[in-house]
Amino acid sequence: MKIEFRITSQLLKKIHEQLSIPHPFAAERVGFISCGIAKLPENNLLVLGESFLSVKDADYINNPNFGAMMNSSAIRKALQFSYKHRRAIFHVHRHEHKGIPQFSSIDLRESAKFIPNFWNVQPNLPHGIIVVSHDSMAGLCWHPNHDELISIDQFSIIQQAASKARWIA
Amino acid sequence: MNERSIRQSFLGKESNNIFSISPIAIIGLCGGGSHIAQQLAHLGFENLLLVDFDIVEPPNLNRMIGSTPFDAANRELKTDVIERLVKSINPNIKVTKISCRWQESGDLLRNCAAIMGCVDSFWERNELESFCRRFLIPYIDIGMDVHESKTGFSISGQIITSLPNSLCMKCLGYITDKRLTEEINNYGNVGGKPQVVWPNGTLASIAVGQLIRLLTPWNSQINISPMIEYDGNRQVTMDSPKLAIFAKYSCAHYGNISLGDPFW
Amino acid sequence: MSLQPQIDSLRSLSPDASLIADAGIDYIYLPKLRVKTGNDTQTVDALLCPAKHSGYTTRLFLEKPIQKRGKNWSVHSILGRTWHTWSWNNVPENLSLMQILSAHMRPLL
Repeated sequence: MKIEFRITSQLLKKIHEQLSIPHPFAAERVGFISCGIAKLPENNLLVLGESFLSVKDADYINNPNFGAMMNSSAIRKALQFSYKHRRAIFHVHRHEHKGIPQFSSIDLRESAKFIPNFWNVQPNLPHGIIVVSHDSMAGLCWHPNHDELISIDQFSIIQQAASKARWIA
Repeated sequence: MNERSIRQSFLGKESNNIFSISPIAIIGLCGGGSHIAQQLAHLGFENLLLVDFDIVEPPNLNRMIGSTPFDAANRELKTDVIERLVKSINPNIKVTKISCRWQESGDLLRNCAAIMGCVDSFWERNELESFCRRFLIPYIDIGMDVHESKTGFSISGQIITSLPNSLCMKCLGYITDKRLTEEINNYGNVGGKPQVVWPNGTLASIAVGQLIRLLTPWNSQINISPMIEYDGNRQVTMDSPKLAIFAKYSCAHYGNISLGDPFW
Repeated sequence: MSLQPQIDSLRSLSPDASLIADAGIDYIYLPKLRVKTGNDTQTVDALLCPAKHSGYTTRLFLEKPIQKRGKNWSVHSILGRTWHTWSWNNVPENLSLMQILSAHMRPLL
């Protein structure tokens, strides 16, 4: 299965702005992108970034071992949103560099603890994680019909007439 | 950069790659769509979805690029004629022919980096735009009209670039309930209106220019105008005066649209 | 006034009937609606628009055309999906949803 992640440049800009807001103690910010989903030809998948759900200041845990750590309230709010609005949820954070980011082992380990929980509220939808850099992004998808994680193959940023408007990962 | 693209290297070193990985659908392959198809093939786009349910007929020959009297005599499908045209320019082009109404094959269009609308009907445009907004696909629409006036005839047209979060064709006053109702009351009969090759060519060229602006970074200071109007008598184009009125508003029709497939 | 009680009553015909909006127009989604056509019954997904649509006072769309029933079938894209409808106008929007639906299904009998 090939997956395309499509997002407008306005939403991506908003995500970067929100992730740039300093936090009292967390080294970085995180959030969630609520997404629409659609099938593409040849059994491929389209993930459409729709809105950004920020994690409130109070929903971070002060743990110096992690750049950012959410509490259960943050995850519960995202779960509620997913349930109420029938949206797929992609957790997002940023690596502070340019170029294609890569998920760290901590990213993967921690995501695996909570992303599958979104199937408790929307079992038929894929969910996942996105990591952005200052000029690129990468993503992984948990799909209800696939046992293995699926890398997002293609990213399209709509309205961005820049060198990275559309690329294959 | 390959030899073929040397003269367009100013579009950026990624441009060839962007063109080759960006599927573009052209809905309507006659007066406007045939020009667009030809230009996209020359530019190096390698994945085109050609959509038209119709056959070539003699009245098309005055403006359909690539069509011949043989095609009209043999009632060739427009999709076949345009496939022939684009492959004569670049044999490597992957062509998907949709020789029916686009609504019947909407699934195939979700993949597109952009959809170029060259249709006659306001209802078609309305549904195309709604489809594109749902799947975050830039929609570039062209259309021309010939009106009788006191001094003879007036040629006019427009290129509308409908992007997510920006003004839609209803916001711009191009699609109105009155126009939609009138069209339906005429049983959707929109064919047979005057059409000629050179305004179609102008509109198609500008539409292609809008597409390239969306995909490649040749100038960081260009804004993509949502609506460009064409005065075919004075042979000028300009940003629609409506933009000055509506520019500060956000789209009233698709602002809260839910993206993706609601029937998933 | 909420349509929900009327949508609930439609669930006798389509158990998963629900309200769904597209570009500011409300539709009633009727999955697996049983449509009587002569001596047969077909099960199709349907979309009811209980207000003005495409020049009609109200309109019913089906996921596929019904052969030998209805006139002037046309194809539409609504909510990102293909829908078919036929020419049957002047079913008023001030009727109940059940009445609107029944009136539209009459030419398919």
